[in-house]
Amino acid sequence: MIEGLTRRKFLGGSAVALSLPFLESLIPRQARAATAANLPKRLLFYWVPNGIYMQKFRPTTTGANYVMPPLLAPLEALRADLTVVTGLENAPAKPDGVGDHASGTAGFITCAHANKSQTDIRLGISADQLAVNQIGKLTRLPSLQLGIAGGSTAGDCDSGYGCAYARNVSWAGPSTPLPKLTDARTVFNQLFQGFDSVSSQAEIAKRQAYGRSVLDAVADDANSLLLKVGRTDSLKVQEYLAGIRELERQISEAPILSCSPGAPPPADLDYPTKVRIMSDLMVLAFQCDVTRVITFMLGNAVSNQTYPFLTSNGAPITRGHHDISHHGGIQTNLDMLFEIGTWEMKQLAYLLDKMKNVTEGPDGTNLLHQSTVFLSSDVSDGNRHNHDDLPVIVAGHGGGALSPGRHIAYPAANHEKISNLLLTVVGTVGASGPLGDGTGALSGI
Amino acid sequence: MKAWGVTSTVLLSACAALVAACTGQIGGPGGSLDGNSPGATGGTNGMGGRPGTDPGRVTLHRLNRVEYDNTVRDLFGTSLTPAREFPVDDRGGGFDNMADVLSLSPVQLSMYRSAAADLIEEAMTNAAERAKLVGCALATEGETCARSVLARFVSRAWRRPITDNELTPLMKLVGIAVAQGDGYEQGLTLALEAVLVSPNFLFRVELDPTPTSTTPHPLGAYELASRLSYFLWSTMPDDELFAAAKSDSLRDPAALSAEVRRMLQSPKARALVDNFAGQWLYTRAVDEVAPDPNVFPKFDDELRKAMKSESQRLFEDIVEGAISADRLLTADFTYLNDRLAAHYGLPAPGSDEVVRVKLPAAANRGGLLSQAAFLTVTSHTTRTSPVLRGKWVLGQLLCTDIPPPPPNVDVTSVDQMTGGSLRQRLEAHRANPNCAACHAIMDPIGFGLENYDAIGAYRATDGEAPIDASGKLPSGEAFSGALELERLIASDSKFAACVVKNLYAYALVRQPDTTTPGNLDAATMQTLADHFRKSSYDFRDLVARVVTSTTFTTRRGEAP
Repeated sequence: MIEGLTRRKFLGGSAVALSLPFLESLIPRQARAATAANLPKRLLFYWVPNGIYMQKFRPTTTGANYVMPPLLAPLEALRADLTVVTGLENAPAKPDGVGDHASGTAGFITCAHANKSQTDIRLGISADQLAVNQIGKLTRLPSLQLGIAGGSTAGDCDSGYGCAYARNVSWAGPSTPLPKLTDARTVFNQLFQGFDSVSSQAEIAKRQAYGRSVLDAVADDANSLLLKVGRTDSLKVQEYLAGIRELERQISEAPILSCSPGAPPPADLDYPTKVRIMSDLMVLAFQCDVTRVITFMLGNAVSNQTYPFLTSNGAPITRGHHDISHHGGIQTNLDMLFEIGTWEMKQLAYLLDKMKNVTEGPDGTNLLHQSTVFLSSDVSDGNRHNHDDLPVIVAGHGGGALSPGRHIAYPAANHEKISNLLLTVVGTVGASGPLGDGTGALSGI
Repeated sequence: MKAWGVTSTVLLSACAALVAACTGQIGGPGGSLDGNSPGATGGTNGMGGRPGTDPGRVTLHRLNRVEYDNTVRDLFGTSLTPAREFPVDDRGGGFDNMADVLSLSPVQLSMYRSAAADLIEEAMTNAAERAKLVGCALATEGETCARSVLARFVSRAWRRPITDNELTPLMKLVGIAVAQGDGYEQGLTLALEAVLVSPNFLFRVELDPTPTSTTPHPLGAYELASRLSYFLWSTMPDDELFAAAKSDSLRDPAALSAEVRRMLQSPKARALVDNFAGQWLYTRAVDEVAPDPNVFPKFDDELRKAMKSESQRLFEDIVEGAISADRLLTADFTYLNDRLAAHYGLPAPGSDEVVRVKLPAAANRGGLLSQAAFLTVTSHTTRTSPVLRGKWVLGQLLCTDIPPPPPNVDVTSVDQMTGGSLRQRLEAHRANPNCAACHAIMDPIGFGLENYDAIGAYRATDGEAPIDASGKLPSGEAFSGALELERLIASDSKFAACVVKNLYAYALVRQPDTTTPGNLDAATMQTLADHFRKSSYDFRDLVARVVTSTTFTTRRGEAP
C-alpha cells in the first residue's frame, strides 16, 4: 500500500478515491461535449490459447438466423452484437518446422512470419499498433497490453522460438514486442496515475514542468549515447527515445479523468477472479477514455492452465489446457475442451455485456456499439495445430461501421486471409495497413 | 472420412522428418541436433584453419527485473522491489538476461519513472538511506552539497566515473526547483530521479572507440567490472570492484581471477543459484507446478519450498567451491528439513530449515535427478512423464535437443490406456515406428527414474505393476535407477560441454555463435570444457576462465 500511495502522491493522484468500493463508483463521462458523431471508437483484440473445439464452435448454418452452436451458447443474448467468422486462414503464422503455438501467437494480429530464433526476434507490426498510429495520441495511453500470466520462469517457450513470440501479441515494430501487464493492481495504477483531484492548477503546472525537465535531461543523455553506439545498439536507444517522447506527451496533457476509478483491486487473485477483474479494468479503461486500443491474452502460448473450478463428466478439470488440447479425438478430452471453451465464451459474454451496459453520448448509445472486439486463437484445432479454419468472433458495431448478428463462412478453398479481416477491424477507427500478408479489407463484415 | 486421410498423411510426413532428426542425433559421436554443440568445429570456422579472432558483439543490455531490483538495493539499501511490478522479461535461449531480447516499451519506461520517484522519495526521507546518500547539510550548504551528492551517486548509479559535463545538466535540474522556490531538497530529488531514468542507469553501456569498426578491443575497466558483477551477482559492482576498476588492475588475468574468487565467496553470488541455475536447471519452475490435489493430497507450499531449497543449497555448495560441479549429480549428501525427509522416507533431521544430511546408500537419493524439485517440474499434474524427464536430461545436461512432437500426434493417449505400468503403456505407444525414433531416445532415460512419482516420492510400484527402473542412454549405455544414470552423465564429456555452453551464454548475455566464420565462441567453449574436465569440474575455476576469456574481456563494433 505504501508504494502505491507514494507513487500516486508524486504523480498527483488522489487518495480520496481509495475509500470507495472498487469499480462501483463509476460516474458517467461528463467532461467532453460529446456528440454522436465524434464519440470515440475502440478496439479490443482478445487472444485465447490452444485453439478452440471447432466442431462445437462452428455454426452449422450461415447468415443472420444461424443456429447458435453449443460452445457459443453463453453469447446467445448478445447474438445481435457479434458476428461469427469461419474459414479464415493465417498462413504466415505457420512455423518453420514445429512451434505452432509460438508462431501462431506471434502471428495472431501481425499476420507476419516469426523469425525462428531464441534471440534474433523479428516479426512485424500488429493490427492494434496500426490503430495506435491513427488514434493513439487521442488518449493518455496510446494502447494497453493486458494478460493473465507473465509466463513460465524456466525452459523453452515453444520449440526453439524465443519467449517473446509466445507471450506478446502486440508489436510496435518487427523487433519491439509490447509486453503485457498481468497484475490487476499494476494495471489500475497505470490507468489512473496522474489523476489528480486535489492539486491546484498551479501545482499541476509546476509538476508538469518538473517532469518535462527530467525527461529533457534524460533525452539528452540518450541523444548523446546515440552518437556513440553502432547500428544494433542505436535501435535500443531509439526504443528508449520513443518511450521518452511518449511520456513527454502524457505529461503535457493534463490528466482529465471523467470518471472515478474507485479503489485499486486486491493483489494475488485466483485465475477466474483475475480474468473477471481484468475484464472490468478493460471496460473501465475504455469508459474513462484512458485508452482506445487494448490487447488481452488469456494466458500465454502453450498455456497449461488447469480448470479445477470446472467439471467435465463429473470430475474437476485438473489436467493442463495444452495437454488436453492434444485431444487425439478422444471424447473425454473433447468434453473437457468443451467446458473450457464454454467458460472462455462466458468470459467474453461478461465483457461484452458489461460494455453494452455502459451508456455513451447524448443519444444514449453504448460502449459496445462504439467498439470492435476481435477474438481468435494461435491455432484452430489444438490437436492439428492448423492455421486455417480459424475460430473468429467479431463483436461490437465499430461505431456503426459493422453489421453484426451473422455467421459468415468463407469457403476453405478461397484461403481468405485473416489479415484482411483485421484490416476491416482497424478500418473502423480509420486505420489502414500494410499488415502482414493483407491485401485489402474485407467488405460486408 | 476424407479428413482422416489428410490427417494421417500429415502425421506420417511430420514423423518422417522427426525420424531423420533423431536418427541423425544417434549417429555421430558428440553430434548435436541443433549444430550448436561446442567442440565439433573447434575455432577455425572456415577461416582456412586459422583460429578466429572475433569476440562477437553484445547488444546494449537493459537491466532485467532481477538486476534492477538488486541494483537499487545496493545503491540505496532499500527494501523496495519495484521491478516486481514491471512486465516479465522475455526469455531467449533459456535465460532472461539475453541483451538482444530485452526490449523497452513506453509502458516500461513509465514504470521506471514511477519506480525512480518512489525510490528517491524513500531515499530522501528514510534516515538510514538518507545518511548513505546525502553526506552533507543540504539546507545550509545548498549547491555545494547537491553537487557532491550527485557526483558520488551518479558514478555509482552509472557504474563509471562521470564528467563535469555530465553533472552540469543535473545541477541545472537542481537549479530549476530552487528557482521555483522549492529549495535544494526538491532540486536534488529531481536530479536523482533523472539519474535513475537515464539510459546510463537502465542500460549497461559498453562503448567502442569506433562503433563501425569490427576490430576487437579490450573493454574499459569499468565496463569489465559491470560485466563481471552482473554475471556473478546480478547487480552493480561493489566498492572493492570499483576500486579494482579504478586502479585498472582487472587487466591482469591473475588479479581478475582473484576478484572472481572474492566475489564467489560473497552472499551476492547466490544470484548464480537463483538466476543461472534457477533457469538452467528449472529450479525456478518449482514455484509454478500445480500437482493435482486429488492425486497428490500431500503436496503443499511447505513441501514446494523445501524441495526448491534442497536443489538451491546443493548448487550453492558448487558456487562456493565446497564441492565440484559433477557432484551436482553424484553428491552422497543432500539438504533436507523434516518435511522433505518424511517425503523421502528418511529420518527427520530435526529442523524446519533444510540442513545437510549424509545419505545412506539405501536411500535411493543423491544428486539432482533424485531430487523432488527436478522430478516434479518434469512431471504432469497427475503422473510422471518419462518423456519429459528424458527430454530434460538430454536438453539441459547433455545439450542435445529433441524436437517436440509434430501436430496431429495424440500425446495424451497413454492416459486413456489401462493396465500395466506407465512404462508398459508408453512402450506400447511406441509401436508406431515413426514416432518411436525420438521416443526411443528420450523415454528409456525417463524409465530409469520411474521409482520417483510426480512429486518425487519413492515408489516400488506403479499402480499394480512393479517398477522396472532399467534405462538406456542414447550412447547405448545401460543403467538402473537415478544414481547410476547420474554417474554416467557426470562422466560424459557432453555434460562438461553443456555446463560450459549454458554458463557461457548466461555470462555473455548472448547466444553463442558457432556458425559465423572467425567467431571465437566455439573454440573458447571447447577450451573451457577441456579445462573443466581436467580440473575435475572445478566450477570456480570455470567461472574464472570464462571471465578471463577473450570473448568476455573484449568487444568490437559493428559494420554499418
